[in-house]
Amino acid sequence: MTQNGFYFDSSRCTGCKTCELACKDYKDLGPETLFRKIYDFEGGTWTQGEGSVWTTDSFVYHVSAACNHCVAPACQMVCPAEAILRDEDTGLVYIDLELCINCELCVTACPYSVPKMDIERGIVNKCDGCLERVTEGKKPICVEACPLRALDLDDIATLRSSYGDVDFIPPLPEPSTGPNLVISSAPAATSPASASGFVANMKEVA
Amino acid sequence: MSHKKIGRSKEKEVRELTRRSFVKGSALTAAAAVASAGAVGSLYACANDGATGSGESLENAEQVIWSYCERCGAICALQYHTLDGEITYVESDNTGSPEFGDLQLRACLKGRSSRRMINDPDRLKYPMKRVGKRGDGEFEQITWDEAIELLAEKLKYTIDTYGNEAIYVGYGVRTRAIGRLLNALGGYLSCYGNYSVAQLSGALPYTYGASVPFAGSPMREAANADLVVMFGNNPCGTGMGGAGAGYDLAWVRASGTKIVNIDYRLNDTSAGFPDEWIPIRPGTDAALASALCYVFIAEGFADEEFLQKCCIGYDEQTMPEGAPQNSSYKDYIMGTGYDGVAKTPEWASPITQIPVERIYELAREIGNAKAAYICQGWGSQRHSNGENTCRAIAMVPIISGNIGRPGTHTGSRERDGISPVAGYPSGIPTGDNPVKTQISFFSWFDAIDRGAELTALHDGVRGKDKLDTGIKFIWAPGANWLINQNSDINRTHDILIDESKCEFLVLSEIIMTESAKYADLLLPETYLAEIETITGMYAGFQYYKGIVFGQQVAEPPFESRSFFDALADVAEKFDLREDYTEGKTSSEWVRQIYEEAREKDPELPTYDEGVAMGVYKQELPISAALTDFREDPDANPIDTPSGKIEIYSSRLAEMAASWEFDDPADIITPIPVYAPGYESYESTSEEFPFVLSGFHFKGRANSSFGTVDVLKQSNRQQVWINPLDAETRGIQNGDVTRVSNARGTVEIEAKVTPRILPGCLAISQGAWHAADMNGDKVDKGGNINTLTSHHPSPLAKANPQHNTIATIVKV
Repeated sequence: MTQNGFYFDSSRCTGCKTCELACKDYKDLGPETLFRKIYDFEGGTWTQGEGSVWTTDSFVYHVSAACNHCVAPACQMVCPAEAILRDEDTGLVYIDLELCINCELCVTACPYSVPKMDIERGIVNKCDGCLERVTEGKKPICVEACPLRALDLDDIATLRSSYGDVDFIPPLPEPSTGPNLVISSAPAATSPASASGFVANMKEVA
Repeated sequence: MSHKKIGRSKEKEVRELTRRSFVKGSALTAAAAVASAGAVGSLYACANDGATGSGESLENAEQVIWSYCERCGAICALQYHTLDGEITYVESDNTGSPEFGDLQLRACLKGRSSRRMINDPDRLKYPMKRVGKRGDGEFEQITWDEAIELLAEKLKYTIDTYGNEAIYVGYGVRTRAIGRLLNALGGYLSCYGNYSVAQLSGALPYTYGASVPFAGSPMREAANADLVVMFGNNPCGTGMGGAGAGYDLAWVRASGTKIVNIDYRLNDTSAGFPDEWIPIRPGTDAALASALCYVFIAEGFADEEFLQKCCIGYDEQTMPEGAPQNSSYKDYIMGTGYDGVAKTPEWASPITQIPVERIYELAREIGNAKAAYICQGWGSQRHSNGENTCRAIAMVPIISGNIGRPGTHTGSRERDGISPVAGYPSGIPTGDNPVKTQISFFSWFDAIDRGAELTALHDGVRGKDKLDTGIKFIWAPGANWLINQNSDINRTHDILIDESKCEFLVLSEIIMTESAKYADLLLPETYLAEIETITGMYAGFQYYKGIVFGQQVAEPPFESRSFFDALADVAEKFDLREDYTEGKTSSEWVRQIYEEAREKDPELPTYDEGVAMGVYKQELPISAALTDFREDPDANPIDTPSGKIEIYSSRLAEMAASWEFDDPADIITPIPVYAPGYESYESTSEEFPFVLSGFHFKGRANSSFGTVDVLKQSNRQQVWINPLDAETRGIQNGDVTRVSNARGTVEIEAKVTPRILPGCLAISQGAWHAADMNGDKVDKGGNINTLTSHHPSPLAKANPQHNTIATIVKV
């Protein structure tokens, strides 16, 4: 089995949300349901100099996040219906909607808040890495959509050999589930000022 | 695996069922759509490698049809996937290499949401006639015959009673078809300029001639520079598509070129790279530019050879005949000019709020660079002092000699491409307008209100000393400038609702916009993907030629009609059908316009080949602008009167002496100077302590897509305020606030963010105005134009929508 994972280059990401909206279009999701979401992570302070002059260490960077198709998926572990499965060919983790009983245990278990209750349809669902497309040899819709080429999906081993093994930058949670995720950090993500950062768009990612 | 298949197909059913909600109840439309999409789809689906038919029976009915999104300048290709004639989702350009740096016309989040706009529940269904008070948005359905009859009758009445000059057609998506019709009827009052770039296109030609401001170096040329310096530019927020300038800039950054991003907001083009940002007070770019030029001259970075050889008005040696003593640019900068003030960094710092040492540092970075690519977006010029500002920014490359060499540009916006095809409907030939009178695009409300008072010297009327009549008939085609995108909505409303002034308003639209509510006659228009179209690439597409062959994806819903066809019926009322159509259908016009392009460029594919390809793209070589001019300006003049760069413009000197202004803040000057302009930061007061500016928002293209629910959720309409300002007013992130000034009030959520300079507020333009105009008029849509001013900029008579003063309180 190939284990696929996502690659995200935060130095390329402009927070444009094309990935998110392409996903919404392809998966036909309403306003309340996000399979991919973009955190606006901002921070920094302002200092007034002589006169009305200002200096600042303010920053922003964005993190585009979807399902990490983890080695040890927290969602799968809590699912009483054994409805969360890993595709044998691609390693992508998906919810079998026939088996799912909509108990929402996975919704609260996932440290990345990936599974969502789709209220409009009354089902729990999540990013499946565009399993259909990947099986056909295509990239997920979000990857193909990114105007800046900041996303990819590939064999996680290939990604790690190309880009390293960083799988965490704020505001993502500290890894605990073996995320199949590789991140390239923007300069802002590793600067001292980033310690003061906060998610600036909570209402857009909730 | 069997589990997977069951699960997947259930999901698919869920998906397909919910997608059907829009066409439900319109079986006739759906049936027609099947026939149409089937006819084209079967022919063109093959263009999309592997996108059709993966074995399941449902997918056998899937078609893939090319069209495009043209809502901003950066036109992006779209492949509509349809199932039984209904759009299921869109893909964009996935032809060619997907590698970073390679060329794909990838749509942004808006183009990707086109299905939602096409299926908007507020799509206009029928022709409608106003029944309530103008602006209340109350209409009754009428037939197309009645609509055509009414339109023809009002046209005839207006021409007979007031003359053709009383008919105004502003610019918009479908203007050219109207122009074609009205020109056959004796013409109409047309406009110059536009809401996007009027100050720059009105002023920078005095420095550079008409063509250079839009024909500099492509952004990718900056890979040959050490440094990119951008004023008021956010290409990752404006032309956001995958082949736009933002993508090119990311590629330039990856090549190792340093970027400097001068803006009052830390915009998303520098997301992840905050060190690129120099915060600046809105409207003061000319002060920074002047101080940079001071350091260039004082520290020996001025390119004296280039200035003497290629420029007029730099110093006493290069002044034109008749110019007064001490009126050169060097005099102005070094303190020997009319104001006797040296434009030092110490002078500029309190104006711009940039530290003195940072200004010196930037000047020296530019001065020491082997090449600097210096450009401006359209943010800096959309101010009451925008004409001087955009010319002053151009002085940075001019004085430092960063022009006409590899890696350099002109100081204007990064180069636009040249479309290889005129396009349809964007390039329908209009013929000549017999009415030569023109007003600024930003004068129409005054031309309704003050009619014949508008003059050439006071209001920028062209072709005549003054108007003979006010506007009595407005035809606004697919344009939201009537209310939403024009300044001072409350005053505009008052002007529009007076039916004794403008007597008839006709709009064609796809959905019920705020502007459409003011129509007397409202015509339902087709969406681009509902007709056969063609477009070439221009803005943002700078280093290749591209064409998208748009085919009909879906039938126009309900009674909406192609505008070109509807106008043919109007022409018939005047016995001009043949003149108007020349006997050709829309489809035949598309082909004719394309064949005209092919005659000029035989490299282009045949029309049928192009349709099979969907998108045609051909890379072009990249080179810096003005290299020939720099080498030998006499042999390769630019199109100014002198053939050289006119730092001092004698034409502007004449206008400065003859044009009339009501306010001393409005000035025209022969050399570019810093002047704060009307309603600048200097106008702030205890009552209105903030400078409020606007910006283009990723969630909308101007007002387009402004009703799409998924875009609104992901891109909340907010007012940006610095934490220091928010704290003293008890405002927290997410609080509802009211932003007000003398013109109006908007109610809007606060985004408390360190990404904006203290003392400033920012509201993205284009949000849909939502106020009870018969009640308190508080705009709960958060439209910045509830607050912006009608006071036109001095030279271009244009929209000063980026400088306004205001206050903010927590609700």
